[in-house]
Amino acid sequence: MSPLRVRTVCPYCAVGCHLDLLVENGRVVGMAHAVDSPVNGGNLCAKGNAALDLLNHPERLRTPLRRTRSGWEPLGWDDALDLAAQRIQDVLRRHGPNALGFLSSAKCTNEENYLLQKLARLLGTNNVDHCARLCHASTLTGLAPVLGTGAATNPLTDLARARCLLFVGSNLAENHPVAFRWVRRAKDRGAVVLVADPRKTPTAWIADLHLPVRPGTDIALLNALLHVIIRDGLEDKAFIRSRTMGFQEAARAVRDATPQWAESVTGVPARDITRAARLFARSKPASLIYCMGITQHHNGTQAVRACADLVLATGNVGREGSGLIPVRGQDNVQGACDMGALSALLPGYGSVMDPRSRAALEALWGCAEGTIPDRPGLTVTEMEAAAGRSLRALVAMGENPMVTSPNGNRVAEGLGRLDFFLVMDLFLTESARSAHLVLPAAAWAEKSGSKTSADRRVQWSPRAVDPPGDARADAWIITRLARRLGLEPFFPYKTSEEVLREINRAVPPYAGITPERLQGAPAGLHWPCPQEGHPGTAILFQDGFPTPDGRARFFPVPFEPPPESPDADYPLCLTTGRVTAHYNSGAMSRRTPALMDLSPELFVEIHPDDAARLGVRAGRRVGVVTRRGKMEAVARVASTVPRGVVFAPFHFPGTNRLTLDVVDPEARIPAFKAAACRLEPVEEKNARA
Amino acid sequence: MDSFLFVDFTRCIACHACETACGREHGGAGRLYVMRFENAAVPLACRQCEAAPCVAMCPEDALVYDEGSGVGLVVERCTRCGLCVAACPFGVMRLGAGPGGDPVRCDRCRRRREEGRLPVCVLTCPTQALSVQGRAVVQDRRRIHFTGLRVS
Ligand code: SF4
Ligand code: SF4
Ligand code: SF4
Repeated sequence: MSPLRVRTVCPYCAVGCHLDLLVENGRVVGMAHAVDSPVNGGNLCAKGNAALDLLNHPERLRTPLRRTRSGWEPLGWDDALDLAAQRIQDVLRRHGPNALGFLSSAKCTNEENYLLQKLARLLGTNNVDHCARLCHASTLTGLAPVLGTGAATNPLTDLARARCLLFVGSNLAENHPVAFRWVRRAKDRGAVVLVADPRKTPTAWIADLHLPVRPGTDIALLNALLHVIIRDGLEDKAFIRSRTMGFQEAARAVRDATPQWAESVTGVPARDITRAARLFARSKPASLIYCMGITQHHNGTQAVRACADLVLATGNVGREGSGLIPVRGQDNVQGACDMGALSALLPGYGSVMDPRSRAALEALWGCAEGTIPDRPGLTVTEMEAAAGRSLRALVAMGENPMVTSPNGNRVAEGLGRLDFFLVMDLFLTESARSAHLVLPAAAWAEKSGSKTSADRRVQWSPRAVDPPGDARADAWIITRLARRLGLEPFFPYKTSEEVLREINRAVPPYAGITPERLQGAPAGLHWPCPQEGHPGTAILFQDGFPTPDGRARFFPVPFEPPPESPDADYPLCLTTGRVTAHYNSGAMSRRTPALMDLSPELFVEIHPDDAARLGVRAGRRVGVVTRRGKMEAVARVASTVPRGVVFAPFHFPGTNRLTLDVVDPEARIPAFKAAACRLEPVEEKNARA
Repeated sequence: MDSFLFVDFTRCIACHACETACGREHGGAGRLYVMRFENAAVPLACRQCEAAPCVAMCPEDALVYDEGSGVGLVVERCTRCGLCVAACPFGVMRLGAGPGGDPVRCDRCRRRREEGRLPVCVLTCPTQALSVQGRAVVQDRRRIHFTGLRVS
């Protein structure tokens, strides 16, 4: 008998590649390339290729575990859930609902995110948030008032149709390799590729022009681009007149942002800025792709708006091949946001402060009026700060804040002070080790549900096999926990399909994305899909913007220097990012041998001139110190980083002990991307060659 | 032989997908080696040399060149002495992991080829840097590349 072929959606990133599993006798025996997939045409990156290692991994959690003085003690599900419910109820009774916190997960399905925020809100708190806070919160806060929706305007496949691609703070080739197929295709058709990044990344390898901007100065560059476009009269006047507001103010704000000024701030030659601006404005349609190089700053919200201004000024919205593409990271970070796993937003992006949105949801849930609190809850970073103080219990679904959050030492202390810390995960992660109770969760192929990729493409990923041991889908765990907390009537679900049917009613853009349709849609469906029979919306804003007057808004964006600049004590700038072999906190990829072989350890990249000056030798360990902490890493000497800048990936514990926890005032996203640091020699006696 | 794994390194983005896919398909580490440099990456794999140094060096005649399918290994004859590894000018032959590991190198997914399927590295590569091509095409593309690189 030949094995059954089950098409699933890759568990790693938000490109949403199809990955066919070969299943025999209830076990995955192999993998095949989904050559006929409209998403990835069979291509997979290194992580997708190694995804099978996550199923039946020897370190997978197989039973609930409770921490005791003598170590981890396994227990059955009934006991584990009773314990969890009792401890949560204790906290509720003693300190009220706002002493509870819920970390939802961009690695879980839409259904699971929906359920977790429902649980939090029915218990009376908006303290529910997830890692989007750490990557693209600025996209939501930045774009909502500008375009009316904070999501990618065009599908990733559209990149192939662009005549010009401008990357700002995105290393797409390395971090979303399969999406790069469309970029490569555009380039084959003669498109111009412009890359603004401090480092000469593989994305920059194919660039016609690389703009090596100093970390934290992107706004100065974007403003100067807009300046040149307006100065040369290259703006799309008809588009600006008929579809936008506020152009004059934005134009005034960049009047002094000359390329010469920008050169002094960003380090990019004025001539290149002028050239890039002209190429971008003249090659239509053009796309602007940005990522965490833009969002993870103290002024991330503003930087996102500066990107939007550029796209609006050139009329690159609402048509094929154009657009503003924030490349979301996690496989379902878009979906987790859509589902309202955010402290200030309900499913479908209604504000918790809007009485109508709350009332509509309360009516749908059938709970008492006033159940959902009318004030925003704590964000990820705020929950961590409040942990052990006003926040007494924390439930984390597939999140690993000890590695992913900035200023990691402070996070560890906070988690250690909690009365109750519950973690659901595949592995005993760094964070799970400090939990009181750890519940074993199911991996992507062991549960079914929907996920939404970076370009709003909702796809169904079916269950192919059973989870190992006693592990269970997060949806199962949340439902059982909720029932024990007295919320039985609100959690009647038996299947993910039932939850999605409720989502159809709770989230208007998902109204037409029924389980039946989704399961039969080989390319998924792009939201908004407001009713049954609607084909979905691949390209946003073709007719109008979902703003009160249907127009997009320009925002004047002032440039401010980063909060921490290199000085005498910390003379270098530390910036962080990813490597192709790893994923975020590394909880999955660092346990995958094939990926560890490719990238086994934490390294820090440094320019040869700085290395020579500081006596840093390639391949040797070096200490990296900021005002917040210290780590050791292997030095990589390469002129792909500019002088004065060092780069470290954040997949390993260490990097985020150093980063800055200053947050953007609107998005409250931490400023991961620029911190002042110095390098120190490592004592020879504990140095490893 | 007229079927080569053609590597267009100007397209490669160093994503290592080919290497990982190869390792999964064949078990163990990949047989393709993505060499990453500061401004480019070059995936290296067996060239299927016609006058192959590895074949010439093998004292047991365990490696043989076949006009139709390139270099192949007769497992029963191989003593795992490692001379072929030393002989390969590209460093793409290695002894497999563990005791008794056979010499391994890219065989252009022989098993898949016999079933009429493409090698996994070709299927997985997001930028079409890898393809299976005949000799004429390979030579043609090489010339274009070489001159193209010089001109631009
Ligand atoms: S690009 Fe993203 S979705 Fe595609 S295989 Fe790689 S990790 Fe998975
Ligand atoms: S292993 Fe090396 S020497 Fe032998 S055929 Fe391949 S490339 Fe040539
Ligand atoms: S899969 Fe393609 S792009 Fe990626 S490393 Fe291999 S050859 Fe290069």
